[in-house]
Amino acid sequence: MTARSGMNGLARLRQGLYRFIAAGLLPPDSERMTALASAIAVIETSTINGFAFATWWHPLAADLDDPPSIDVLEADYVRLFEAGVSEPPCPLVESAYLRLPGGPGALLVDLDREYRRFGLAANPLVALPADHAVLQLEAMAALCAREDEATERGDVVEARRVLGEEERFLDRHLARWFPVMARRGAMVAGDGFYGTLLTAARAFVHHDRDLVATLAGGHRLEAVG
Amino acid sequence: MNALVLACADGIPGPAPEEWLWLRTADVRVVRGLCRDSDIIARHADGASNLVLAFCSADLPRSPVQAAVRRAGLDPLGVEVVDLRVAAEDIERLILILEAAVARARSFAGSAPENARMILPKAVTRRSLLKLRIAEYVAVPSIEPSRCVADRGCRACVEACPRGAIAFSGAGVSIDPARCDLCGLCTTACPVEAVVDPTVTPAQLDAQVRALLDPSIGPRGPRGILFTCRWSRLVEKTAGWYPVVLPCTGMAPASWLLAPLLLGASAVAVRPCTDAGCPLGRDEVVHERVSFSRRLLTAIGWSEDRVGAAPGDALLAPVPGPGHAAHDVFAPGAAGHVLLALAERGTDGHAFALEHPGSPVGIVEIRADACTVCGMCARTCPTEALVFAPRDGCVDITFDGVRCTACGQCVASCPEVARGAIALRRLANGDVLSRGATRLVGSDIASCLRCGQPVAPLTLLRRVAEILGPEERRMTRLLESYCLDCRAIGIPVSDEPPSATRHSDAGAAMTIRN
Repeated sequence: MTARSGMNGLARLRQGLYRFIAAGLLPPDSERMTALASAIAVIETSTINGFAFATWWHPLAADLDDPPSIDVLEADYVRLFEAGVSEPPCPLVESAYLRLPGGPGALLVDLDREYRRFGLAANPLVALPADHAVLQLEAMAALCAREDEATERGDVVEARRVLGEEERFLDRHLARWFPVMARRGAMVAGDGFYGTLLTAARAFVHHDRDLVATLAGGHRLEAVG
Repeated sequence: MNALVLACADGIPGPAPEEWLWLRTADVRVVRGLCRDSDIIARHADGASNLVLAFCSADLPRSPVQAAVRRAGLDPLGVEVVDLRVAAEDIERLILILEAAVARARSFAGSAPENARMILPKAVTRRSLLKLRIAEYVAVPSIEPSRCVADRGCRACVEACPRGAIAFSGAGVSIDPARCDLCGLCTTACPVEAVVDPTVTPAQLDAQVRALLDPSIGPRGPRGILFTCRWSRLVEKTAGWYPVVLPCTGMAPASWLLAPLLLGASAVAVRPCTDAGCPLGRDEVVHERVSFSRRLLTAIGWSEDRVGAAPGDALLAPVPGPGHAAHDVFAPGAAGHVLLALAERGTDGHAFALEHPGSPVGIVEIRADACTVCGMCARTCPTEALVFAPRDGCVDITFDGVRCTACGQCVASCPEVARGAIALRRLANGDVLSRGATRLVGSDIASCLRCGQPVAPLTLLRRVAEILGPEERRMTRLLESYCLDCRAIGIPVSDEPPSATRHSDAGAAMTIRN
């Protein structure tokens, strides 16, 4: 994400934010933290202040201005998301938050089918399960990019179709578990970078579910369009 | 960082207001054109701890104002907005209203992401909607899971919501913001402050009302508190009356109408948002609560005219007393304390009793011949007015009237309610409120023959035996003789009657082995 890419369109802004959160939830490394710091600067100059979730994104900019060392971030990451012997406080996979008597198999198959329907496939170099937050966030980012392209070329029908896909994916997967995980994670993480990131991410995903439902809701658009 | 009042100079009477308008509790900046250019807000408010915006118009588009507040690093839901027209050219009145708005803004405890609900712009095309750059938000309540007692069976908010927007599932209580009509009934129905509208918490109301009644600021003379609705277009200018804005006046329990009298108000009024009444249909509720408050005032020896449905012409002298109250008087569990404190300033002390549908407190009555002492009522009671208190081989259910908010959850949870085991009377009784916890009903507890652990109250076991009937004698004997753990290891039970028995204190027919 660079300043050149611009974030003035709503879908473009949402795409950028989904990608930002996904990158933030990958294991930390110094190169990625530098990229996140550049990205938040772009986000801060975007139209983000027009939306309620901005309140929880401003502290991220302050955190990334003077980020903690990679050692501290790694320790926090493992403690929150990957603790070895026992289950971590907030695993980054959807299956950990659902009561699945038969195990996560059906969920993973469903997600795989969704990704293929969107024309997406997980990068084989990234060994993450299909229900991992990073993959779900990247899938939403890809849909937002498609919506943005359709909006830019004036294809309202296609934009609304993609919005419908976004609404379905949020309702069936991401928005169903991610805010719960993020709330729990932020409580455990406290004031550190991951606490701020998870709160910002929770605010955005919660808002996005409402926003997409509103934009995709035909009856409301009919009333004003 | 200080609180800041940003006021539009165009709406303030008198010359050069920036030279004389100052407050004790906040910095003040008077700016020309504030109502026309929201960028001014971002420029001036940057660095402020809390913000009060004083506009000369009520018709400003909210979305650019909210965006400007966010650019200044503040939460728009924590910003108080004052309509300068309420000052009606009275400078002292303006200062008092602004000081109170600052007090309310300072009491803002922050919002959660779930508290903002997006509202669509009124007139946009489909295409422009997809390119939306700015949105408008209103505050909706959210659930604070750490305080919610739904896992104990409480459904007070679910029952209070007139739109069915609140539901309980295995994961807890959730609010569907799209169905919420923002009336706030759920926030005052919740006895433990687990349903939170961050723009109208008890702490904020307390701070604003206390400031409005602070005799050291503002015009001399008695003051009235007028609860008005957020959606009201009426501008309250009546001398001596000061508005306190609620999401809907229907949310205000009777204790809120009486509490300001403890803090030094001469009178309190509640006004619906339109002359035609409440568009959400809460008029009857408001009328009921006003009626209770007036009758209670009469019962304790004060004029009923101190509470009304509209500002009165002449304000009486304030209720005698210290002018302050120790309790957080707007907290949901404070209703009993408010009534007692008010009665103590009346003519007959605690000798009042008033049964009325608008009562904010109640009395739980339990019929000993129908109650099984299962304890479900006490387990569900959110405020612990009812307590299941085991002691030395028996158990009591006690009731503390001052904690009761008449939420009715005890009745809803009682498995023997059809037999008339429990009833809630909306009765405000001074003696009951001041009495403390008293025993309502009790029972001996059966002990496990094998390990000695408590099994269940004898009255409950007797009822189970009655339901199972004589043909299930063996099952009955197993249930009454052994605890759950020992039953799980499969103890054989004889058909023979027990060799030794112990009777319950209720003289039950059922017996149990020693």
